[in-house]
Amino acid sequence: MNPLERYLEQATKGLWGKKKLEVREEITAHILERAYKHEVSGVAFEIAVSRAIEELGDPKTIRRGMIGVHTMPNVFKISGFLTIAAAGTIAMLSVSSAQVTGTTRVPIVQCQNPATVFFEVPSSSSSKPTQIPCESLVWLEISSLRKTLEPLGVKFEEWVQADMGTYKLMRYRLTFPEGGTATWQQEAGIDDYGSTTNPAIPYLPGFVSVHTLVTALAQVKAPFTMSGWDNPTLRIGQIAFQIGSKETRILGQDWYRIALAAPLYKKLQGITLAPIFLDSPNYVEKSATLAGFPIMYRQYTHQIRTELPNQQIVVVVERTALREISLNNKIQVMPSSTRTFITTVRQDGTIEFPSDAKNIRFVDNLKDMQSSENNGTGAIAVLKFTNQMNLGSETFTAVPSSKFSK
Amino acid sequence: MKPDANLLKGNLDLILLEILEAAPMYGLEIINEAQSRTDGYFDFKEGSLYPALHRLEQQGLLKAEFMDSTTGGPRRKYYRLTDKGSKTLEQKRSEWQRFNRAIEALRGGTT
Repeated sequence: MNPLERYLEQATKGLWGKKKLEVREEITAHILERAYKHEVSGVAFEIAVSRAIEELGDPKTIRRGMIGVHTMPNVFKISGFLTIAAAGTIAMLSVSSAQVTGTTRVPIVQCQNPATVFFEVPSSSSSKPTQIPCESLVWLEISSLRKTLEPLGVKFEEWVQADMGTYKLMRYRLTFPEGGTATWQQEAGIDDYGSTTNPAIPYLPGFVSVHTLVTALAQVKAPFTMSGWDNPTLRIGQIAFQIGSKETRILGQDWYRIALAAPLYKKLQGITLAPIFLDSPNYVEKSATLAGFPIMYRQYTHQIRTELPNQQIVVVVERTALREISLNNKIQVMPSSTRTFITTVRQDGTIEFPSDAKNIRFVDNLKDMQSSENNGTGAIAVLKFTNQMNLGSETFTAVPSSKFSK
Repeated sequence: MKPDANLLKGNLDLILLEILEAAPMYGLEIINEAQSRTDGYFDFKEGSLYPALHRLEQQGLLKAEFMDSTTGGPRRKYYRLTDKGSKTLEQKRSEWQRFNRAIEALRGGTT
């Protein structure tokens, strides 16, 4: 890779799609024009380019600034059109449904701590860093999506938006029978780093992340609801289809976690001074990685009985005073943390959830959780959301602890 | 003598809007213009210029458009002031003048 390409990659790492291409072009024009001026004064072109790059300064300055301007608004731009119906609370779908198969999951790249819901990037407009959701993403095979949607009357189009040599920018458009469209774009091919450059939304060639698909489908101006837990069914206007299959299951916890990340964070940010931790799907193994190191930590499983209906989806929010972990064979105590666990109420009315604390206390609202820092006891609040939600607004209400019993 | 970095940073929007009021310009042209009009007093950190331009564009104060280079190189991205940008420039000018007057008043021992 030549110095110009290397600089451009570093300066635009973290940007996505068209915006990335535009910034690359703008910076390229800047460097080359500067370089031509140096060249005119008798300097060899390669040296002239290097000098122009040096004058432009650290590529991280551009990268940090651009991510603050462009990446964050997109990450949280989950449209107000997106609504979700909690499992078991809507009528059975009357239209034909189909399955999208070939799902896979990959861990996100560049998250310093994969167990953390959000990771931080510098913000250009505030001294506080901006937080970006950081989680394992679930992927759908695009060819399978196409095979599923076309028989339902959805026009599926894909084309090359830009060909940058090392990778292509692909664009996809779904046109629904009622006229609404959903579009998204993603890189295809492997860049010089062997991976995508957006830390928030990585890609797999031939696959679309559920996060991207949800955001795209939210553009369709039609009711957009979801039902079911594992392998949920999506309904957009009169079209309904199921994602996941028997062989390649999409776990409800993953899906709802992705779909609810933004509003849930909004709800929690008022009470969280510490990082928000999220259970990884393998939480029962009680292991995770922290900054690349494998760690073990103590975890207890709690069960409570509720008066909530069967299959009601709930978010268990836990705030713990201490979190004991074993890092490099040394026991360390982490500061207090808040984490969420999304699950459903079982048929017998019970909820089971993991906790760092052996003894827990339930609180009726999130503000009461803050005191748990001092008394060494984990605090738990159970939130439920309404049956028909709008992700752009407040969607969670705390379930009174009087409704629980052991 | 160069301006204090914080002073420059705090007034970057005003400086950029002021420069672009005259005519649409692309990044490097803005840097050159700032230097030539102030005899080199405003010497931007070039890398911080572009995020600032993008931010102003996102805020609707600037509108940007790629245009072919007159020298045959890659396309250049030209920025121009929008109506909203012109109004913001007026506000920022007034703020700056008020601030300046207040400083002068302090120097003169009056408020």
